[in-house]
Order: sequence, then C-alpha cells, then structure tokens
Amino acid sequence: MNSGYRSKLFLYVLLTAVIVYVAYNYLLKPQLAKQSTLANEVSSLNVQLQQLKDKKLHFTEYEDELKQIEEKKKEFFKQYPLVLYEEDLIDMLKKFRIQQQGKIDVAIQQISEPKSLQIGNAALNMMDFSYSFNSNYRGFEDTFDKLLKTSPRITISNFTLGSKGGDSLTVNMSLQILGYKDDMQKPNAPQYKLNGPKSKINLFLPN
Amino acid sequence: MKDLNLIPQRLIIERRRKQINKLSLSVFVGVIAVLCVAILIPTIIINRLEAEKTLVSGEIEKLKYVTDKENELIAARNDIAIKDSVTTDLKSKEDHIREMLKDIHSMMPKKIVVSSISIDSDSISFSGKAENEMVIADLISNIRASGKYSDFFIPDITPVKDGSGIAISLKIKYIGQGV
Repeated sequence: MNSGYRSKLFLYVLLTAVIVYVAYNYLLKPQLAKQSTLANEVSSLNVQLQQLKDKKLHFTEYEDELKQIEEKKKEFFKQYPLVLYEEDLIDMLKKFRIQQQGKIDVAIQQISEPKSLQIGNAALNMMDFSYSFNSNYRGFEDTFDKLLKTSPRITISNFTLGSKGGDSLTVNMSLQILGYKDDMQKPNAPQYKLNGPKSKINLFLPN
Repeated sequence: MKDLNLIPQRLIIERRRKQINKLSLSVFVGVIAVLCVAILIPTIIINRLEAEKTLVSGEIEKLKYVTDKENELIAARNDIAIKDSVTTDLKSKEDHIREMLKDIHSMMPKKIVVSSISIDSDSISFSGKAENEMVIADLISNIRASGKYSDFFIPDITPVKDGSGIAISLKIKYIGQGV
C-alpha cells in the first residue's frame, strides 16, 4: 500500500472519531442530561401526586376540622369581639345588674378608654372599669362566677373585700372587658367617644 | 512446489484496497447507525417523560383544591392556636385568683377577724385583727406550709389601743407551686 492510500485511510478513521466525539458531546450527552432531569422531575411529580391522592382521602376530615375551627372562632369572637359598641357594653352591664337584683347593690364607677394588651402572639383591646357592690360573702362568690361567664368576656384584674361588720362586705372589683384586635379585619367605625350620645359607637377601634 | 499464481501483483493490490474500502465504509456506516440509535433512544424516552410530566401535572392541577383546602386548614389551625392561647392565658390568671381566694380561707386561723382582702393576679394583701401573737404565728406558718407564697411583707403589726388584740397587715406574693 502506498502512503497516499494510508493517509486516506487515516483521514477516514479521523473523520469517524470526530463524528463520534461531536455526536457524543453535543447530541447524546445533553439528551442524557435532559432525560435524567426529566426523570427526576416526573418522579418528584409522581410523589407529589401520590401525596395529593392520599390527602384527598382526608378531604372530608379537613372540611370537618375547618368547620369546627370556624365554630370555635365564632365562640371566641362572642367572647372577645372585634367590635364592641358602647350601647352593647351598657346593655350587658344592665342585664348583669338585673340578674343580681335583690342580692347586691351595684355601682359602676368608671370606664376607661381602650388600651392595647398583648397576650402571646395575640393583640387584644382592653377597657378597664370598676364595679362596686355590697353583699355577703356568698353574694360576692356568686357575682364573681357570673362575671366570668359573661359575653363579651370580662376578666377580673383585682378586687378588694372590705368588711362592713357582720356578714356585710363592700366589694370593689377592677374589671377588664376584652376584644380581639385583628389587623386583617379592621372595622370602618367612627372615632371613639365614650361620653357621646348613646349610639353605635365602637369602643374597640383599630390603632 | 513452485507458486503458479499468475494474477498480476497490481490486481491483487487493487482487490485488497477494495476490500479495505468496503470494510471501512461498513465500519463508518455501523458507527453512524449506532450513534443514531444511541441518540434516538433518549429522544423517545424524553418524549415519553414529557408526556407523562404533562399528564401528572394536569392531575396535580386537578387536585389543587386539596392543597388549597390543606393550606386553609393550616392557616386556620395557626389562627385558632393564637386564640386558644389567649383563652388559656386568661383562664390561668382567673384560676390563680380563685385559688388565692380559696387559699386565704384555708390558711386564715379562726381567731383573726379580717377587715379587708385585696387580690390581684399574683399577690394577696389583707388586714385584720388577731387575738394574740400566737395566732399571727399560726397564720404565717400556714402560709409557709402551703408552699405557694413568697415575699412576705408585713407593713403593720400593732396592738389595738383597747387591748382587744393585734392589728396586722400582710402582703404575700403568689408563686403557684403548691404542695
């Protein structure tokens, strides 16, 4: 074989090698990488789908739990309203006074302006007011229990029992009426004005 | 024996070249064919995977309402947990006050006449008249024995002018670790 023929053969081999190199690096390798990525994506999507299918089996439970939470929230907002109107507060205290009629002699002395109160992650509206009455000890205990069962919620921050001789006591209670402050549900309400005319004046205004 | 091959050398070489050329072409075509198959197979797999991806994504999209409901539930759980913590915290404060009221009854010796009691979320103050020093000692001993109170502060112990006993004022702090 002469050298011309050998060179031609060598070029032939070289061309084959170049084609193999180019095809592997620029065609096959990207295809394989794409295949691997896609396979991972599909696998992950399948896992996600399976999880969703499993969750779908509990969908009714989710709905039931949401309903229960909604009920709890309604109950909570009855106790800690987002909006409290002056006349509601007065009505509530009047009703309470009527409940206690004959047992105690009540005087509501003073209602403060609303303040903010932070409990854990929750922000509350709070108004202090004092509640005084004369009663025997049993009457005091009864009032104590009933005050804590009112809606909206009243809490007792402190109280003083003073003896008037015999069974009679003078009770001074510092109470707080509480409302929930929810930034997501700001009520569009007029400015706070406790001493104004008795109307729907919102006592718990957002800051 | 003598070689009687009469074919000319030129023809032999020509034939060998043709054979080599054929072989080279076959190798080349074979390599190209293998490459084509090697590229074609992943392409088919990729097409199949893409079709599967579209299908699975579609199914996931159809079940999106489950995810939405789950997210809604998670948010609602967090929200109610905050509200529950408010209720629990306030209930705990009320329980303290109730407990303190009950304690003051059980700890108070009978020979003390209480004239006033004041209770807030973490302390009790009271004033009254004790028959004698022993009764005051009994009171302090009862409070200590309960293990729930600290920071005794006694701003006043004075004998009553008419000699009928000893006036006492006392303030204690609730620490809430009962025995």
